[in-house]
Amino acid sequence: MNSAFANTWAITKRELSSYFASPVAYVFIVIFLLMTGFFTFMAGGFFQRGEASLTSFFLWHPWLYLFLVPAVGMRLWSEERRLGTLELLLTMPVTAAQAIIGKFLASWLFLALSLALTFPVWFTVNYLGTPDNGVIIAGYVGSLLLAGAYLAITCMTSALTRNQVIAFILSVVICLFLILAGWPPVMDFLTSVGAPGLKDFVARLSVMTHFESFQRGVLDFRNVLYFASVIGFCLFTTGVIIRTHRAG
Amino acid sequence: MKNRKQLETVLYSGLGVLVMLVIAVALNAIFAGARLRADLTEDQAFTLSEGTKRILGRLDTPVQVRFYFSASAPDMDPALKTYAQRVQDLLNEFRALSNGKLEIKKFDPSPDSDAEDSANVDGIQGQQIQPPFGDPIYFGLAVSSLDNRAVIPFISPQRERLLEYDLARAIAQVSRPSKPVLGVMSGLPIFGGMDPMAMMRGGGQRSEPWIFVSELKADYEVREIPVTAEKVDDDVNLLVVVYPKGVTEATQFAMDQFVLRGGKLIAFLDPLSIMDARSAMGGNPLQAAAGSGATLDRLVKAWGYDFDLNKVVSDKQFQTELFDPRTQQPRANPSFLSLSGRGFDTNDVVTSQLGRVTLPFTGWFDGSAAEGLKATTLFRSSPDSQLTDKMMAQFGATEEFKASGKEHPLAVRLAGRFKTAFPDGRPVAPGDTNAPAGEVLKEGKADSVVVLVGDSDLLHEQNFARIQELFGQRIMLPFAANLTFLQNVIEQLTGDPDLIGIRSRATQMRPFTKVREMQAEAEIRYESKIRELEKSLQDTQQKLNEIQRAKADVSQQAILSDEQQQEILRFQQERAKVNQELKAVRKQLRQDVDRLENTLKWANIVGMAFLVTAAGLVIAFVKRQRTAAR
Repeated sequence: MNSAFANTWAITKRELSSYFASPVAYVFIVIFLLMTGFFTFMAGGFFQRGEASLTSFFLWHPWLYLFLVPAVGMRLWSEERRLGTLELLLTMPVTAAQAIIGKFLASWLFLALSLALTFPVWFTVNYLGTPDNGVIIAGYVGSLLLAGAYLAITCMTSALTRNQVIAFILSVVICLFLILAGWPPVMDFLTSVGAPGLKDFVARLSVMTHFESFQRGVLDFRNVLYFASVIGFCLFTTGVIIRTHRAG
Repeated sequence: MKNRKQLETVLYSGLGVLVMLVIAVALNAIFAGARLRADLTEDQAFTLSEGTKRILGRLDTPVQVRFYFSASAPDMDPALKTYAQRVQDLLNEFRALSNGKLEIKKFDPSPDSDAEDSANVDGIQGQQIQPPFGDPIYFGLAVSSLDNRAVIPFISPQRERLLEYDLARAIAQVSRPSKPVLGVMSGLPIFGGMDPMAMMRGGGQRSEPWIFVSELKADYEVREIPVTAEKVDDDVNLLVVVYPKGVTEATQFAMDQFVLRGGKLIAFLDPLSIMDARSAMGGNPLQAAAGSGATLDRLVKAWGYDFDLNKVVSDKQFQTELFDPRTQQPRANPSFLSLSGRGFDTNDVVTSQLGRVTLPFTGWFDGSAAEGLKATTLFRSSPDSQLTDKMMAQFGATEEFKASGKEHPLAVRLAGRFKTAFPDGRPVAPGDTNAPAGEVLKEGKADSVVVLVGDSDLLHEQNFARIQELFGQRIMLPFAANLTFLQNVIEQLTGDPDLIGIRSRATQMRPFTKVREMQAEAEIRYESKIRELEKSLQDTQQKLNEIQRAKADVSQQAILSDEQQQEILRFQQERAKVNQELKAVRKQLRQDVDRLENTLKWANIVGMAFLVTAAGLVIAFVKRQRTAAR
């Protein structure tokens, strides 16, 4: 069991160091920070709201992650496939599962780091007033899980193709679908198609409901389960896809 | 052969994916009803409180909750649907704690369905959420037990934090055996009565009862108790005292014993009652004012407080604009308070959702709760307040205002085990040989609650509502929450004591205190300057008016003298200049705050990003150095 963790961790480290070897990581972090900052203070009306909370900060995450997370994850498997190093990776004394989880963890940790670097906004809001810090913590947890879910989806699409751009676009589309699942026009469409049962199911798929639940300050098992299911399912599917390619 | 194996593998894996999907969905569905969560909010807003658990555990008769929600309405707002789910979750939790006594029935009132009829019978109206199209949406509930019924006509998402309280209260209300008995005592004719002023005016002899009395009669059994009563009946649950002018020691003793028996008391005292002054029989208004004021001196003192009948609290932050008949202009009267926001205890159920309460000429409570009692300040003045002599306040004199910096408590609630205010026992009137028998309590048999309010005028409808006569009905249109406050307090005191314990989950206002502080400081700095400028503006305007008037008087002379024309021009210029200065000062007020906001904004947006860039460059440089060709 120990070796399993050790292997996974080795992969994670390898992946992470490759991130920071190139300027891409820094560029990504800078862009992420600039955009969250911009949206929070300008578009989100942080000061206009007049309330000491990070609502205007978390509000944008589903939409920012929509583009930024696929950008991080698209190269995860596409690159290996393109360079032909996929087979090499899988011949090492490392199981496919360990490789998948290892790479996923690396990217997730990277995203976690980017998220953590937004701490000045937390300081700011505490300086200006007395926010409910428990609610903020729950917000960060929700945001991290959301990023993880998008990332898992991107892993999946990235394993499907050699072309990073296609992986990116596919991932954006799927994530967008998850965001819009609960959206009234979509709901209306489903009603008109005459599938009320399907409508309920689709509504529960929506990432927004689960994300917003964290914003209230509650860590609900059901919401965590949702994100865990998405991550679990996508990583499993990634494994299936890779095995298929390997067999081919 | 190899191809087939390949196909098999793919199929198997493809099937595997499908199976995984089904498992994932099923897992989520299985746990859809699970209530496993960590509430990280500061005030535990999403965790059931002890009070609720006790109320539910105590139920001995079956209670039925009928929950109406138009779940199948096609235009349903998903946010509302999510909230409805949370409401149902809460109901389920309630049921789990009720030992099977709570039954929940869910209805989906689509148009013309039986469910809709049931909703209407329960008094729940559909709301037009999305006008003009769309059927009305039902989102309410009715709680009933035996013959009692309590209804929440619309479960507003804005009231989410009070949802647990609303539900628990409805359940407590219906499981209560009988309507509470309110004893109401007053030194004013609140039940209607002989009104000497009305007599003089030539109107009828009787004056109308105050509207709040009729409102209370709708929900409670109301009993009039004279100001000279010697005993409060045992079956009175709550005593409401309004301006106890003429109260005797014997009556105060009766009230003391009533509280010690566990009875609850709300007393509206007042240093200056407008209604009292009004009904004074002609005579010297000054004398009337001096003689007005009512308190329960012995009781208030024993409970740890001093209520000064000669002072009124004036407050610059909560002053009200009233029409001044002398100058025919609206004028701010700092002794007529319109309390809002921070003047309330935002955490207490009673005051958390009040918008505005008007307190005309209110007194205050100086002191702290006596031993064994816990005090909660329900109303307080701002620090920009001072004590004004009531005579000065009544005649509108507001010369020197000096902010005391103290938040004067205007209404307090005392809870706990009370001790008697009459340690020497029943007060014996001179010449009274027959002392009535009866047990005399020295200390409370049970915990009790007393609410003391420093004003009584707030209860008269002229201070909180407009009355409209419509088809013979008197319709009350409130513009302040005075009556709501009274109803909240009464409900809190006559309802289940556990309801008082349910923490109020008021929507906590968390403003930018730093910004507010800076604004307040700036205002103080510039206030005198602004006042100076405004005064000079007023003077200039007045002079201008005088000249115009002079012009009009001497209308025979169609031509103005040169001098007069010059004067007019001068004053107009002066006025323009002062206006400019005023604008500049006002702009400066915001400057500090704006500067802070900008700094923070840019620091946040660019700061961290800049640091990361710098870090990246440093790392790259270091690496370059290390791997540089030697």
